[in-house]
Amino acid sequence: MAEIPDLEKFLTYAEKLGAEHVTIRFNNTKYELISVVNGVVSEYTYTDMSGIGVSVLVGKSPGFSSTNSLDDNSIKKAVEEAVNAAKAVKGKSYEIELADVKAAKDKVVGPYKVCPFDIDEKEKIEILMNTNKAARELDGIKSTTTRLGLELDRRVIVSNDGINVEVTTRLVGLSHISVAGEAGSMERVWDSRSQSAGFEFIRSQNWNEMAMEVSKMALELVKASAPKAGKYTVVLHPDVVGLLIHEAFGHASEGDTVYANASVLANRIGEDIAAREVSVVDEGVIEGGYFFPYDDEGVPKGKTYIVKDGKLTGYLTSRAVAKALNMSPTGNARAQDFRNQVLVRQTNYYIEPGDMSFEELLEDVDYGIYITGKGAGGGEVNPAAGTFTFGVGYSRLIRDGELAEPVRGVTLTGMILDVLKNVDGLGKSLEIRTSVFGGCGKGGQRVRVGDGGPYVRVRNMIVGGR
Amino acid sequence: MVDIESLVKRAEDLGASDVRITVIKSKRKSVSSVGEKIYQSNVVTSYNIGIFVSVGKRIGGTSATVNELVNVEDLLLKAIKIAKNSPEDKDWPGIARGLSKVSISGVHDKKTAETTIEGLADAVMRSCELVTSYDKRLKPISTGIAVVESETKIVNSYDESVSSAETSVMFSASVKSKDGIKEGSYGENRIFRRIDDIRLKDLMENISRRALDALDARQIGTGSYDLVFEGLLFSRVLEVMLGPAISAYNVQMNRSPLKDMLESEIAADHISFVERPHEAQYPGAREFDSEGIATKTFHVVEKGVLRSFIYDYYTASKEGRESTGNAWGGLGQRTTPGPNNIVLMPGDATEDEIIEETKRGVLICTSIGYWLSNYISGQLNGTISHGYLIENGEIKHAVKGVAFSDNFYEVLKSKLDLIGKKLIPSSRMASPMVRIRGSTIAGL
Repeated sequence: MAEIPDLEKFLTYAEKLGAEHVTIRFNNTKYELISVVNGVVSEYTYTDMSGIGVSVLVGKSPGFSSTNSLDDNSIKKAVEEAVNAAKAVKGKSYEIELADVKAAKDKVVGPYKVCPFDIDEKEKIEILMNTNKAARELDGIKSTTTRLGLELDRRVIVSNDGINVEVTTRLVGLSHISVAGEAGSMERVWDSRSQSAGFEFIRSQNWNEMAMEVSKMALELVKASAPKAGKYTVVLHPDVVGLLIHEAFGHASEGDTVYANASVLANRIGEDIAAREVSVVDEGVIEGGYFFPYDDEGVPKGKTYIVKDGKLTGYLTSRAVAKALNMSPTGNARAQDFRNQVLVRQTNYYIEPGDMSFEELLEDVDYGIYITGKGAGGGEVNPAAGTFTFGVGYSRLIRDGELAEPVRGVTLTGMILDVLKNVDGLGKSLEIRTSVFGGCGKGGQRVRVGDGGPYVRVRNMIVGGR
Repeated sequence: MVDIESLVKRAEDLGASDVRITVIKSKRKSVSSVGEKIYQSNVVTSYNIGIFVSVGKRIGGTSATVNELVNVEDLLLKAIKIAKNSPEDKDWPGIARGLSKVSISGVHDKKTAETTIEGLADAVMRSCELVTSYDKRLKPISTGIAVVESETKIVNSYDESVSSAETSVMFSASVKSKDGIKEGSYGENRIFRRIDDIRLKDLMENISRRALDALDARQIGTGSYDLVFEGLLFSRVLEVMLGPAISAYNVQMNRSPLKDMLESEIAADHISFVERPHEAQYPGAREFDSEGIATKTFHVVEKGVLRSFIYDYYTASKEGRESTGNAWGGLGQRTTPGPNNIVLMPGDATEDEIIEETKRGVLICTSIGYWLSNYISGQLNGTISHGYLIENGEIKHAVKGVAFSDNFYEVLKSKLDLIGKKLIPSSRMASPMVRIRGSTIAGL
């Protein structure tokens, strides 16, 4: 099998063609997805994608090209196309400059014990078949889908200002969906668990128990009604807090959005934009999250405070955005793969915990909703308008401080800053989650992220229902 | 370059019962701006292969970029190994046979394929100028144009093959308005077949006008309203709600509420949905599906009666019928049925007439989160990111930040009462403007 080509020699070639700055990224992603639907293996696919992306600045104009052909001539052609693209927009583009960084030279492998691609197909299928079967043992379950996802992502980043970084990350997980039906009504609930780890994570979990729990929730929900639309006090499970903070706030804190004047957070550094007890962090390596020690420009991703004690303290940046905003690079330049130019993206985004127990958060709620996130569909935000929405799945009413009957069809909607100002209670424990099945979408690119927080109580949240 | 025909023969030598090999070559050129200047100019060349095999009634698939790191015979061996280790699917009919296509004039546009980075850069700059010249309170946030040319070839073990070349154009623009302390924004994403289909002046003027209207956007009170969906948004709603519900796979897997509803009334008698995949101007038009089966024109719903689900080869074989040419799937993956270009057949109302006949309602232009709606339960919901309050047939002011909800199947049966004349396509469905009576808005 061929090796990764020597990328550094193409840096010199780009310089000869007139590029002042050049970054070349090699990326290889192996992905395996197995699906079992109602006891039948409906899909088992293995994908192996590799190629290079070339980013250049020519006279401060940007150009990018990518190819999956890795012979010298193809890479040279990609370099030429990137340079030509930059020349083609000269005079119409920004004069882009990059913030200086200490040139990292590093090779990092994310935590794992057993490589998921060394496991026999039969073991993987057996785990899925057993899980899928366990979920179908309850009367009223009409359909069950169980999926196993395994990923190995390897990135090499070199630049003509001395960066040479290689990161290899493994990510594994299992998801399950149960559909319940009763009296002409149907409902689905799903759950999943993923970790930046090897196959040992898959072997360590009780998947049958998770699938049974999902089926039980689906059977409860199919009999439930939607809550009346309106404003409620809500207590959010950490899974939903992750969705909320990622979608409702995180996107607005991405520096390219701020620079484009498309964020409600633009020009607000130093302002009180959340309740005093709220602190928001983006961190590259944290338990439960996606392993991300360096970004796709080879900049280390450490711990970045976006909000500290309710005050806006910073934005997420790439090298170009950091220079434009006169800030430091935070290690948030990310590309889905070699075919894409970097954008500013979140990594593991979360609210720091407080000091209340779950019971204390419920205690003061006369009538509200507890939102678990099981079956949550994700969310979307308009960072310029400040609006967000997400579907949150299985939920339960709160009456007089106690959990009551389940409700379905719950969606949360609101204005970003109103919600953070209405936070009035934070739980003690921090839970971060990632997923091998999905990720965050922006500009047509999807990247793996983690998100989470503690249990959080929010007053006056708009809930869409019946 | 991969010799696909030889690889097909090799699959049989290595123990595959049959095989489908797909190769896709594509070139994507794009330019995007932030504010009034270009921020990215990209050229992306791809060459990918997918191998899907069966060994008896066991299946497996692999896909990869074609390059020096990938040995396609190893890829083939991996697919066969996966298949051999998978349990049997007793219903597996083998790889799809009968590959053919319906030639569609115009799915490939030479001018679009030959558009240069310079040409795209000029169009992006022109878009920005159209915004700033429309009103001094407006500034472009971002604009992006991408053109894609792709060639697809599918070969199977039965000496059959099909190939096709297509073009598509993606356009996006968003604009911010500011007047004193008031701020607003509006943006759109569209897909076209040809670069000349973008009517830049009309498009940017509409976006600019709405960004100005957004200065006065506000929430409205919780309650019951008639919802008037613009065609583009409703076609996207249909992709989320109707598309999976009419998929024969979801029906057979007991996760569609339309199971057992064939030849039953699932909608009011003025509602018809027709699969129309042979009209090149629609982004969903295609000559053959992901299995290489020719696409077809047919009624899905005729005057409210569910006439047909949509099928790929597997789901069709299970019911002893022919595929409808609706297979969708990634390279090397098993397919499932999905819409190509399903159209909600137009009615006779103009868009102005629909608004004039609405006493208390909201015209919804864009929504975030509508894709979170649930076709299994029928729960239709989303947040209005740009809309207008309608009172006594007149537009009053812009609306944002409120949630709408209803049950999609009830909407089809009894609440969707007006359908406009003009079809607007999304990527795989098309719809005119529609009105839905008495839906819920959650707001103030």
